[in-house]
Amino acid sequence: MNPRLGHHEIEELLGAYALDAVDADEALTLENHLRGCPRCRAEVAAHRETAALLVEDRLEPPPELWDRVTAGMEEVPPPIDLAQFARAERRPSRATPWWLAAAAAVAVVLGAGSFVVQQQRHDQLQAALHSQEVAVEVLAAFNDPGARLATLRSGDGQVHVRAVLLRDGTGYVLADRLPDLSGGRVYQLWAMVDGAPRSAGVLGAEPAMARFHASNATTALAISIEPVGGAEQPTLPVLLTGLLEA
Amino acid sequence: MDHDLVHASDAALIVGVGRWRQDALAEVYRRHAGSVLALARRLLASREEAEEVVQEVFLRLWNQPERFEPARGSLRSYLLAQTHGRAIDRLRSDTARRAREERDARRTATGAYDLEHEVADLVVAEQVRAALAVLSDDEREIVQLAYFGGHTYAEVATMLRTPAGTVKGRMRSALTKLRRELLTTGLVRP
Repeated sequence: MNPRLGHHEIEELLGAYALDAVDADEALTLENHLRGCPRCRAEVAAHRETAALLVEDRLEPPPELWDRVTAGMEEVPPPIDLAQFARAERRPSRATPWWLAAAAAVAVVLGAGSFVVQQQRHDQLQAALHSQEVAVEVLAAFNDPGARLATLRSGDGQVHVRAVLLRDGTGYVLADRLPDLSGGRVYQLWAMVDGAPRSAGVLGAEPAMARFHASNATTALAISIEPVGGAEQPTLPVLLTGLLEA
Repeated sequence: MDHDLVHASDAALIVGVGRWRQDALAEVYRRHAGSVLALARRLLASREEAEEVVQEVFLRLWNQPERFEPARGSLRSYLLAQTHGRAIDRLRSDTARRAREERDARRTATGAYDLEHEVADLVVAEQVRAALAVLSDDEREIVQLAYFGGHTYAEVATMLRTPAGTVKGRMRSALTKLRRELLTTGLVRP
């Protein structure tokens, strides 16, 4: 099958794809397309919802089946393996005062540390930014003379995430270097404003480049790991912190 | 069972699962495992394999609950889509081929099954059945062979001696027509 299908040909396949009735090559082509096309994703979701209604019978699962499910469950989430991400740009971890200050600021504010999971989604970051256009946008932001840059670092200094905040409050974070999470956890971005963390959005479990909005008064950015849906206050310890340039 | 959980929304249950609350997953299982098993069993000849699929689907929900996006659709349809995909993977793998041939032989022997028969006798089923009337016989058969039979559109085309392009287009148009009809019943969200 020709991998370079036009949009019309892709659309024609959406019904078959939703029913898992395409061959493996076509499925790959479709999946590539769907990553960058919200309209087609929505159509596939709608077809799947429709197909699911056709399943109206229920079979009573044997009692021991639930036991088999629970036997496979991990009681605690798997540890995050940061080691694999400490790669080429590893530098001697000098405890530079500015990021320590940011970490300290976050820690002070969070003293009590209680957090409430919001069931409503936070201002969900515009998910992954896949298109070329956006890559150009991100590049332009980093080169904007008025932009404030930040490098968010992990406590051990080995993981770096770059971010930029423009004067109009639009920001971008290149979070794609963070390891994927499992076990129902997501990354969440925080903007420090007047010494208090404000959610700048949930980055998801498989973070990518993301666009966010934050106040001009933001002094630092931080990324924490939270349960799905995000938290109102970051859970300590915060994974990464970084001061924005003045 | 926690009384709150019984009345919790799908989205609230997923938050619970995300916080490693086993009772939240148990409630999801109580609500949906019956449909998940029924779909897996339609597609797979082996009872053991169908149960393995159920196990995989719920374990995946436990490990990666964030993959379910409440804005995109119901938890039930998410779980059934996962089930369908996993069952199809097994069906199309080499080791499953023999079992599938046996199952097809069994189906042939027990005669044709139609979509109306596949739909159980419930109120929702009644509405779904009414909605199915908007489809032509061809469209119904095509959807059925793909969704419950696990066939690709190319296979369906061969079986029905219809051009593949036509079958592919009808899968989409049939689902679209059905959805439009179901929207009037409120069974699906716009």
